[in-house]
Order: sequence, then structure tokens, then C-alpha cells
Amino acid sequence: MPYWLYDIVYPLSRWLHIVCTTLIVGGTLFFELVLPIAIEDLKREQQLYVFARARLVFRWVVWIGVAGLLVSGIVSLQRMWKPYQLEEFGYVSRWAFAHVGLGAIGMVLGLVLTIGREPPENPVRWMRLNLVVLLVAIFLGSATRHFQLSLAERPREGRMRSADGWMSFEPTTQPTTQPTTQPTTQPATRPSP
Amino acid sequence: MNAVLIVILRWLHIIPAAVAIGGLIFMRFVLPAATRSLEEEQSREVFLRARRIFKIMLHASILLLIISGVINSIRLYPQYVQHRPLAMALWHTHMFLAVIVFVISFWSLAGKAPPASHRTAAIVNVILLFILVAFSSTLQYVSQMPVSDTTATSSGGR
Repeated sequence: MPYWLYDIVYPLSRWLHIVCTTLIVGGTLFFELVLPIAIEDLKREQQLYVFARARLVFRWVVWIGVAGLLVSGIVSLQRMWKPYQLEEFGYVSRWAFAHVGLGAIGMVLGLVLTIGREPPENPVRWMRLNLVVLLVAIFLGSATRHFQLSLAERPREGRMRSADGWMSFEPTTQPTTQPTTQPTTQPATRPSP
Repeated sequence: MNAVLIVILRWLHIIPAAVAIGGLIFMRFVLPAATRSLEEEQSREVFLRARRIFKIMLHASILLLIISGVINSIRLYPQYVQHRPLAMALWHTHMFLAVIVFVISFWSLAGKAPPASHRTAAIVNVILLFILVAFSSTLQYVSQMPVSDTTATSSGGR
């Protein structure tokens, strides 16, 4: 991939991932915490009607959010797939796959809650469960990112690796021992992708 | 800094952002569509109640965003300095936009009734929040690049 495209695709996919997360999590939070209190003075039939209408409109938010998360998630996974095969990335990949797994459960729950004409029984309870799942998934994502960055800051062959460098990283060039001192210089150029 | 604390701070920056962006979109687009068929008085009452609760959530979110943002900025500042001027420009723009978004939020949620142009303000805020996240994503990306790349780019070529 040419550098200019690389420099556009990855920040864009990160942006998409965060925006879609905020759409689903913030919307679910609003649906679950704010809406029931806002409509509690209405008659029962009116409450049900508003809930049903809100669900129909929120469906689009969830679908757009899930589509964006899938696209941006696949781009990120494609970028990190090779490094995740390495032994030193073992614990990072476990965090990453826990994030992917729980995120997938959250997305499926979100879709199930909004697909179809009728919501499942106890939709607010399911939404609350989904919210917890999504919050934990975000925590796992934050942890993955932190461990990835910590690993990137470790010296390797006297050079600092960057997130970009992971893409071109080849397991065969891995040294048997880690250097114990911090590098004194930054790499002069970006490794070729 | 402790790894657990760093992860929690990162998490505490994303969740309030989600409350602000997702809540604002729900408030601006989903709620009016859901209450459209109610009588005007009832619809307004539902909106005002939702606005009251959203105000509390948003103010708490802004507080968390400021606290986690300041600590994250102090921690990451050396990285931004290394990637000067590009990272610094992105960081300053991110903060500048955040201040504008906070001011618009405080203004449109002040008082018992919303100001006349609260719908326009909500749309402007959503757009600004999207741009703000774009700056922050780019900043994260830039601060992970090798130093010479960002300095070369900003000085006219790679």
C-alpha cells in the first residue's frame, strides 16, 4: 500500500471505529437510562408507542454503527494480524481477541434487539446487559491499545519500532535476545510496508 | 504511570465521549422522531425531561473528559513535542474544538427551556465532535510514527 494511502486509511479507520462506538454506546445508554424516565408521565399505550418508534429509528443508528465497526475492525485486524502471530505479542493478541469477541457479542445483541417488528421480552433488561458488554469491550480495546503501544516502545535491534513498523515485521528477523538498553536515536525513515 | 491507571484513564475518556456524541444524536434525531405523533405539549414535556437528565449526564461527562484529557495530555506531551509541529497542531486543534463544543453544550443546556436555536446548535455540535474525533485519531496515529516522518512531512516533503 502506498504511504499516502496508508496515512489516510488508518487514521480514518480509527475515526470510524470510535465514532461508531460512540453512536451505539451513547444511544444504548440514552435508550436505557434517559428514555424510560422521560416518558414515565405518559399513558402506558403512549409509552409503548414512543418506545417502539424510538426503537425503529435507533435501528438505523445501530446498523450504521455495526457496519462501521465491522469495516474498521477488519482494517485494524488486517494491519495487526501478522504481529499477533508472534510469541511476544501473545498476551496483546489475547486482549485483542477478547475485545473482538465481546464486541461481536455486543453487536449481535444490538442487532437482535432492533431487528424485527417486535422487541424481545424485557428489552430494557437486555439493553442494560448489552451496555455492560459494550463497556467491557471498550475497556478491553483500551487495554489492547495500551499493551500494543507499550510493546512498540520497547527497543528492538537498537531501533524503536512504531505501529507502522509492525506491518512489515517479519518473524524471521526476530533476535533471540532483547537489547537491554534504550536506543539513543529514532529511526531515520519508516520501514517499507 | 501504572498500566491499570493508564487503561482506566483511556477508558474514562472514551465513555464520556460516547455519552456526549451518542446521547446528542439520540436527543437530536431519535427522540423527536419517536415523539412526533404525541400532542405538542406532551412531546415538549418528554423532550424537557430527557434534556434535564441528559444535562446531568453531559456535565458529568465533560468533567470526566477534562480530568482524563489533562492527565493523558501531561503523560503524552513528550511524544507530541517529539513530533512537533504536526502533533502539536493537531493537539491544540483538538483542545480548541473541545472548548467550543463544551461552550455550545453549556449554552444550549442552560436554563429550564432550551434556546430557540437549540436544534441548529445540536447539529453544529455533532459535526464539531466528529471533526474533533478525527483530529484525535490522527494525533494518535502521528504520535506513533517515526519522528523524522512527521517533521519531514510538515517541512514540505518526505
